[in-house]
Amino acid sequence: MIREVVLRVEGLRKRFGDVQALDGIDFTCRRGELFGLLGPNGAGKTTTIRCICSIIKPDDGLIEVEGVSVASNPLMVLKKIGVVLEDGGLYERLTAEENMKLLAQLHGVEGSLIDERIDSICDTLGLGEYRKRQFKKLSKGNKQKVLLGQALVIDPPLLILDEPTVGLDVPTQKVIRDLLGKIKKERTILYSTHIMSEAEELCDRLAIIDHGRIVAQGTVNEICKKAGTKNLEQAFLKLVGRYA
Amino acid sequence: MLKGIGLIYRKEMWTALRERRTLIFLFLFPLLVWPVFVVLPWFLIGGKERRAQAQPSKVALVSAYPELEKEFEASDKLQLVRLEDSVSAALQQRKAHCVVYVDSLASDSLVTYARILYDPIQTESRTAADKVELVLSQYERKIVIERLAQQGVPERMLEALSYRRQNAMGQNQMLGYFLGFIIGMFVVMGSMMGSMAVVIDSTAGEKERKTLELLLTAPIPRSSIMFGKYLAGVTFAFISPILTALGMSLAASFVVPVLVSSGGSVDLSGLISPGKILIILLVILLMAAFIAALQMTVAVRAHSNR
Repeated sequence: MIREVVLRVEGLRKRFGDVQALDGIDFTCRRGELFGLLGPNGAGKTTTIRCICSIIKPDDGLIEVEGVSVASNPLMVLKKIGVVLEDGGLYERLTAEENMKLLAQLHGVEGSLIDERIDSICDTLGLGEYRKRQFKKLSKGNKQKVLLGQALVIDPPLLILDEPTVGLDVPTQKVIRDLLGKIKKERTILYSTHIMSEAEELCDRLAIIDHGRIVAQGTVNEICKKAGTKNLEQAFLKLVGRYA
Repeated sequence: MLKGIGLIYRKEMWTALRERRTLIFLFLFPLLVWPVFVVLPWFLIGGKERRAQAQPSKVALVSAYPELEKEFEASDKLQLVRLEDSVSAALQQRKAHCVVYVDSLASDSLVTYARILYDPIQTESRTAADKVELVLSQYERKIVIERLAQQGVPERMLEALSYRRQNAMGQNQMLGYFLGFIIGMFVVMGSMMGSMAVVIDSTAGEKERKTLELLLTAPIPRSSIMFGKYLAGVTFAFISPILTALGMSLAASFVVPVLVSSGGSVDLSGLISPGKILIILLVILLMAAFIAALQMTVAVRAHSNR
């Protein structure tokens, strides 16, 4: 059964001065799919995500979320997206709960639904005893959990996670990976990472991006087959062409 | 759009009021630091002048006129001392508060020339010079009267016009001057300082802490984000000068009695009517809106709050 396309990116281009950051990015994410964006540092993963989230305007190309164009109706698109940005922060003097509540309110979630969702997220992520603590007083791992929590509290059809496990300890990485494993059936997730094992474990399909271009996309097996390698890491190294 | 502005405004206010730096600029400076800075010098300078006036000033007289020396000795405001060092050394070491040189009189001249050497930086020296001037003018008048008497002219011929200077302003007018001029200046400063930390923190600070990008992914217009932040800046730029005016008014009620030398407290109620308060608040609001806009224009271009 072919599932409905939730995110469509076609011919996405973005230039910063002399640098062509994105040079014709095309991919689609379908409902219930965890789609990985894999690439070395500076490949264009974060720029792609920033374009999808309307933080920056692309020079050219099409981005649609559930059939709504980012260019023509960015606010309606943003209502459908929950985001965890790379190195992103939250308000340090607000508590974990207040941060999640603020983001929920900004996304139009109202009333007791917010509290119910925060309760559920805190239980799932093990944030119960930290929810009343100011964000600045949380450990890096718990901060990342709260960042994930603020994206989930919106209950979006599309969840965008830009390297959410970078710099975290192994137990926290596992909590986040387990959570993503559970929720990926219910929603669409665009997951940017450069950790191969994570991509292999979590992603239903993925795209390998380098120098602003997608060099391969498909399931892990399809990519390994295309590259003629045994595992994703070898395929990645061969496809980005730097260490082959 | 309004809901978005409200949410951003509430967030900015809430985060700012939890920041120690904001509270210091908003409450501590206007209500305590600035009033103390204004009141303290008045009392320190006033107290020093009062002491200098009350005590006899030490004066070194260099003169060949024993009569003049007697006049100085007779004055309870002066204490004659010997000039043992140079004039500047005597003044610096405060062995003398001022030195008076009286030049020798030419045989055909009716005028004696005196020079009062003093240190204008020292309150005691300035006061001593004033006292010496008074004694010299009294002595001059005495000589003139004697000379006129020798010529058969009565003393009353000297009195053609009598005048004196008198403060025609009451305490309230003095307070009005104080509030209008000195406090006005502090109110502008209060407005700028009150909102500066909040405006910078909510713009450049958000960029630096990387929270702005997440805020930009919220489905509200960017103008709502900007207006919410701007209104928070205006609120602080508005509250801070009001607190400053309050603190400075209290300070004024101490300073003005010293200015008019009458002591006692000052009644503010007669000076400020509800109508005037409304006008003042409106002016402060407009000024706050302008200052916050100005600060925001600069702060949004910065990449960090340092």
